Amino acid sequence: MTDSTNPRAGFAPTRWSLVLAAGKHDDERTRAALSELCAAYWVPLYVYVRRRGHDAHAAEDLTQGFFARLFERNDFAAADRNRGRFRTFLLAALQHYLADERDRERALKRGGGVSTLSLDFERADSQWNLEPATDATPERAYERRFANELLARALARVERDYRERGEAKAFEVLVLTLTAPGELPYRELAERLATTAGAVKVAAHRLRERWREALRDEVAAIVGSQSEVDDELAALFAALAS
Amino acid sequence: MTERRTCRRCGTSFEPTQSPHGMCPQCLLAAGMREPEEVAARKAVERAPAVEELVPLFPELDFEGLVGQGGMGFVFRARHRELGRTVALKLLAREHAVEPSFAERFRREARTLARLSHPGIVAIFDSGERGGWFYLLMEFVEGANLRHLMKSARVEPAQALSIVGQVCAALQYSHDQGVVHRDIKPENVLIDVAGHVKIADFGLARLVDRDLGAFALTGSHQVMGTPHYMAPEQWEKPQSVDHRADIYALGVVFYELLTGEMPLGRFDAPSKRVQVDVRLDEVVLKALEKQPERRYQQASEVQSDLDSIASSAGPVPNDEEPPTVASITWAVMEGFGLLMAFTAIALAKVADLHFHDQTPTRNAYWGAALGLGIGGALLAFTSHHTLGRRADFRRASRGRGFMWTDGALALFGAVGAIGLICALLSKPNHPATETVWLASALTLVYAVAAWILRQFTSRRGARVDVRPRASSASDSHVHSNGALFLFGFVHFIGVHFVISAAGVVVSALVPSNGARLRLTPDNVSALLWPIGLELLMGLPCMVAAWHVLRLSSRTASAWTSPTPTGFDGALGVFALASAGFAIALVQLPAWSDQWWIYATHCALGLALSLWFARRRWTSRTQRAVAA
Repeated sequence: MTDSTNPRAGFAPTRWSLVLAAGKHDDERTRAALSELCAAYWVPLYVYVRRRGHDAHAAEDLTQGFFARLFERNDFAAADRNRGRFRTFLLAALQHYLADERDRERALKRGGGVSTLSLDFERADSQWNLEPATDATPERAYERRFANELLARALARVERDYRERGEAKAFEVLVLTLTAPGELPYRELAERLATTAGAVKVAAHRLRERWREALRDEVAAIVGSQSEVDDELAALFAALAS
Repeated sequence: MTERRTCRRCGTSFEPTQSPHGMCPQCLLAAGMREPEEVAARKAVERAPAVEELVPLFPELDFEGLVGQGGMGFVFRARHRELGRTVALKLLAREHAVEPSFAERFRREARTLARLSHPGIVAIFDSGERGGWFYLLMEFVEGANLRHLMKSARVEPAQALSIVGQVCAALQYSHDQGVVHRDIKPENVLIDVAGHVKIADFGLARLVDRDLGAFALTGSHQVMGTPHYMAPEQWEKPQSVDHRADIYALGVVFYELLTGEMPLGRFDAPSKRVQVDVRLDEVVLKALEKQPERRYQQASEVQSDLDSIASSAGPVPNDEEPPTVASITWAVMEGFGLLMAFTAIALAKVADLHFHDQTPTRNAYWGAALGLGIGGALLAFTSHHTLGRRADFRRASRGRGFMWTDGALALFGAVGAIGLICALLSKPNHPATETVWLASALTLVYAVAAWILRQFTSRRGARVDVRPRASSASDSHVHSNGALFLFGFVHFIGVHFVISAAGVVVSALVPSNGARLRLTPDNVSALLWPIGLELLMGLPCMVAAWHVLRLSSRTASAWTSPTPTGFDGALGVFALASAGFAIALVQLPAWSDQWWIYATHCALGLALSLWFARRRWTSRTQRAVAA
């Protein structure tokens, strides 16, 4: 993982923007950036494929095959600035791939048997099993899974920060204040951390600030420019609202 | 399949095993999203043009400064030399104007906006493009937007009704012209100094709303402004949004005005949260229907419903629900407990009068009175406590019409009156007659006092906004009034009695005239009478006053009000009384043998008043500092 971009800098290139900027020029950095992004967000794709009615085996093959072709044919060069963000690009590309694949014979070796990314299908499958088979369309399931992945990544980033500073316990205790600001009794939290309620209040505020930063960083990595971060956040919010 | 959970805060259902740390992903994301205003301010600060940069572009304007910035762009206040009036210059943020088709769309929208001519809509004088900035020259509205208004002061329901009504009129006009606002929110509702509402930014949302093009996905459409004000169909099918989306947003604004909260997830009807006319619930809920077909179809329909509510005779508080059997039972128990306590007081007093020379008989009576009094007081206290927490009782006791509480009071008064008549007709100078006489008198006095208090509560409580927003800055509308004064005074009278009881104890323990009181059984029982009587009178007074006060959140909010309220009056009276009492003590030698009782009383009374005053003073200054 590369270092986080500073959201306040405003002009620091984000990773998806790097891919967009590279265009057709296939260089190492672009490739690395893209594979990192794909490695982070492949589970939503797998969920989408499963939701389209493929069984676990076929879905594994298709997901791997999709990535293989993406890198092989340098498909991401097709993504340009006007055509949206990583999240939408990824799904659209997968939809193309699935359409193509339907026409082909299924027995064909996909991706030449080579794993492009190391994907932990067991984890994905356990998540698929947990995924509600309710009202959601495959697209919705994808969007929702994507938003959840992103939140988990951002939160993991914050947690790592805290752990590196030796404040793992503080994170554990305070993390729930993120979704319930002011609702948890500060005094109780303070007791668990052996500090004062005032200090907990400050720490909770700081965690919130850190969370905002981390979330924006994570979103900044998948949009074309800093100015799109708020819009993407709103779109993710909408995806979760359904 | 796994267990799904519904988030308490936002009402979204989610799977805890799937989301990070089992938290609601929606809320988690919301925690990371900045306040919309903050976001807007950030964006704007990054790109706001300097006035010097604009002067050559707009030579006809004398710029007076940047007055606002939002997601759309920047607003400058300026004076138009030719027109000789103050105008607002709105520059659209450049990021919106990247598409080549923007210029054409901007011209089209600006023409539509210029066509709108309505007192409730901000007028457009000029528009165009200069130096790469798309601009609108508009009427300048001297005042504040609704967001500021809500932040700075509590909006009374009557005010909310008037504001929403005016917004409806403006929306109906624009909808008739075929213009949908698409971004109704408190920030876009301006209120001028005369209280007139003017809606800004008509149709601009559509102008800056970009298309995702070939990769458009369901639900991934981008969102302008605050997501919470958007109708469900605006998320799902942004292309097919019509004027009913404005009506939904209006419903959100209305809900927020009434309750101070957003209608998120499974939200309560406004009257469940605050004391407002129940008929407003229907209006708000109908505007907030998820299906556009089930919503109000025209803004004018909202307005006419509001008009009929506002003009109908008298307020209709939410007290039409019949009381539950449990509440009635508790009310009867409370009355019964009070009756027991009053009888105990009467019994003790009468025993003291008739048997003061027959210690064993008197003590037996006192024992019975003590048991009866404590039992009755406990029963009354617990019943009153339980009753005070029952929503149906609270609603009913704030209501104005004749209710079952009145029935209970009438019954209580009748018992007292009958007792009084019986006592007058029966043999005088008999202990039983006198007991009945005293108990009936107390009951009657209580019933009358309770009735007077109820008149005050119902007058104060009916249809008042009792939004419990401790953080809202100004409670200046809570004026000093008789009801608060009376409640506060009853409370302090109670305190007075309790202090007197304490004074008796102190006088017994402290040596007087060089000799210390010996605690023989006789002496102790002689002391218990005044102590018991004072406590029996003082404690119910305090408890009753507190509970009546707490019944109305409005009176409760008066406690923390930065402006003087009835509490302050009562406080002042009590402090003065204590001081006066202290002076009288020094002047009257006849009281000198009871020096300790009264000295303790005055000292404690004064200390208590000062303490309360200080607490109120500090909370007031804290608020002032915070503001």
